Amino acid sequence: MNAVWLAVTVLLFGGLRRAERPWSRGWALPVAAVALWGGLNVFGVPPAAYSAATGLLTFWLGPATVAMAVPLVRHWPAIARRWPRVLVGVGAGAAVSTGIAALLSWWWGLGPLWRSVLPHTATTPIALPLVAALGGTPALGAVATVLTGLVGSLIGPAGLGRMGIQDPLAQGVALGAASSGIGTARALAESPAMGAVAGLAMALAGLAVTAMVLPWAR
Amino acid sequence: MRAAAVLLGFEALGYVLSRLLPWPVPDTVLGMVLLAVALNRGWIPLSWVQAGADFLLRWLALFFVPLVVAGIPVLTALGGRAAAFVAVVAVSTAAGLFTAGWVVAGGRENVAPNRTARDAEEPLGGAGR
Repeated sequence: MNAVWLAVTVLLFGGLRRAERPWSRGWALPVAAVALWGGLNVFGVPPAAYSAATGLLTFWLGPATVAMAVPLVRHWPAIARRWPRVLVGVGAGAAVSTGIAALLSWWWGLGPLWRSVLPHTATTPIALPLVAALGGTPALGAVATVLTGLVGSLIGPAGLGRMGIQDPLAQGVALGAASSGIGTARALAESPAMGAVAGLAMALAGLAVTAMVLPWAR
Repeated sequence: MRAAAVLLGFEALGYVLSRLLPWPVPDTVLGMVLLAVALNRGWIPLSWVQAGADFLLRWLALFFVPLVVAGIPVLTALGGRAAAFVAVVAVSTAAGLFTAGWVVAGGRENVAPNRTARDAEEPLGGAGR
């Protein structure tokens, strides 16, 4: 039972990734997830059972994040040359994301949900403790960070390109800083160099979001 | 195998360090920084981890599938508030993303369609020098 859902997940995602075209890059993740969720409903599998069955996949998120050190070291000279701009870009992106999330939460009447949304720009292992510190709901905080990653990974490269921003360093910082892990995965799919700076931007954005959000903890 | 051992070892090191720090910095991010320093200083040869790291990073999006699946019922449980929740996250993410990209690309003087072809050919070089 466990092995079946694990295998279905790997095969479905792998198949979708193989079928990807340049215009559809980034869609394998949300499409696989929606299809699998449909499958779980059809077969009456509770979400908790699916999470347990696919624990082996979630487990590798940790080592994979550590592994971002490899492209980072390889592309470090190019990143270091433009280090101040990377820092300012990450700070600006994190501040705008967090500030607009606060503003829109109030404006669009999210009520207490703001406590779960505010740290959404940070990578999940940073965002969840912050959500808890704000008095929000961790499950909703996790959804907010996943949505953040999906939105950034789907609109990022094409949207930035349309703005005239093709520079891989700029695209990498934008993807990592604004949409954390899933954005970094998308950047890695574009090029290892873009992924390297995205991983770094993700880590730095996590620190920036922490500094901005912690004063509101209760 | 050796790559997996090194990566898990640095995740564990990061975990120990994260317990000692007063802020919520995750073990994996600390592990990434520690491993980057170790590789840069040559304490650990790149060849030990390179192939394994490349493999994991190639499949990074796969490891997120269970998290996205788990999020769907939580989102639908929000009912009428789900649309506003998604809208807040989507709009603020887009704003932060384009701001960060615009700032790094060099602001107004460098962001122009006629510069882009050359920048794209030059990995991580391009504008700003």
